[in-house]
Amino acid sequence: MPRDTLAPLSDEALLARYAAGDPAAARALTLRLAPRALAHAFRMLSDRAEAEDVAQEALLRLWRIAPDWRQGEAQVSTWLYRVVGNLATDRLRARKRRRTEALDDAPEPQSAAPPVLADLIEADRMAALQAALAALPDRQRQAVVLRHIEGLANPAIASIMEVGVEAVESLIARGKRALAASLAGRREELGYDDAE
Amino acid sequence: MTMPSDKRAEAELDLLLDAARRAPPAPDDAFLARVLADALQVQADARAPGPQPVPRRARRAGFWARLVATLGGAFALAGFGSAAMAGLVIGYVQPEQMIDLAGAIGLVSGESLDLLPGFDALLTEDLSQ
Repeated sequence: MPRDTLAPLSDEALLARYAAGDPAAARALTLRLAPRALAHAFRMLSDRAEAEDVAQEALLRLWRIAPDWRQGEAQVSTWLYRVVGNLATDRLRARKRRRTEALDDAPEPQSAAPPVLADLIEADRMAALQAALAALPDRQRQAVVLRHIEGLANPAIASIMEVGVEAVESLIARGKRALAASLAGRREELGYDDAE
Repeated sequence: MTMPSDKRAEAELDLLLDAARRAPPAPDDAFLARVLADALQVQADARAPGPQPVPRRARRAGFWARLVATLGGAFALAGFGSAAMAGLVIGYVQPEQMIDLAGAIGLVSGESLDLLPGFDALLTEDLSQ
C-alpha cells in the first residue's frame, strides 16, 4: 500500500496493520514514532548516542508487543513516551551511580562550560535550555518536557508518568521555576537584552 | 514599562521552550534505518513459523481406523486385500490351468487325494471280531 494512504491512519490502526505483516505500516510507524521517541529521549538524556539507543530499544519493545496490542485500551504514543521515559530514567540512574563510584573527577559535560558571549545564537540558547533541563530532577524534567516541548496535555502526562494530574501540575510548576531561575542567571550569556 | 524580573524570566523560558518544540533533534538516516530494520525483522520472525492454527482438541479415532490398527496397520490390510483378490482369480479362471498345475506336481487327472482318511476300516475290523 502506498505510504500516502497510510498517513490518515491512527498509530493504533497502523500498529494493527504492522502486526498483520504489512511492511508499509512498519515504515510509516518508524517515520512517525522514531523522531518522537528520539526527541523525548534526547531531552531526558542530553546525549545523542544514548538517546538513539533508548529510542531504538523502546521501539523494539513496541514491535514485539504489536501482535498483543489491545485496540482502544491505550494510545501508542502514551505507551511509547512511558517506555522511553522509564528507559531514560534507568540510564540517568546508572549514570549517577557511575559518577558516584568514579574516583577521578571527570570533566562536566561541555554544556556546563560558559559559552563565548559573542557567539551565542539560537543553537546556544537551545544548548543552555538543554543544560538547564539536565540539571532538573528527573521527574520534573520529564513533566516539563512532555508538557512544554512535546505539547501533551496534563492528563496524558499523568497517564505516562503514572501519577495524578495534580502531581503533574506540581512537577511542571516546580520544574519551570527552577528552569527560569537557572536561565535568569545567564541572561547576558544568552543574549537577552534587558531593554526587551 | 518593564516586566517584573520573574515574569520576564518566565516569558523568556516560554520562548525557549517553544523554540525547542519547533526544532526537535532530527533523526538521521542511519538511526531510522536501524529502527526500520528492527521492525521488519520482528515482523519477519513473527511470520516465519506461519500463522498459528487455532488449537483444536484431538479427536477420538473412528471405527475403520481402529480396525486397521487392530489388523496390524495399513500394510497388513493391503496383504489381506491381495490374498482376497488372488482367491477370486483362482475361483474364476478355467480349470485346465489348475489341472496342469496338479499334473506338474505329480497328481494324475482323475485321481483323488484323500487328505482325511476315514474311519471305515477300523469300524469293519471291529465288527468282524
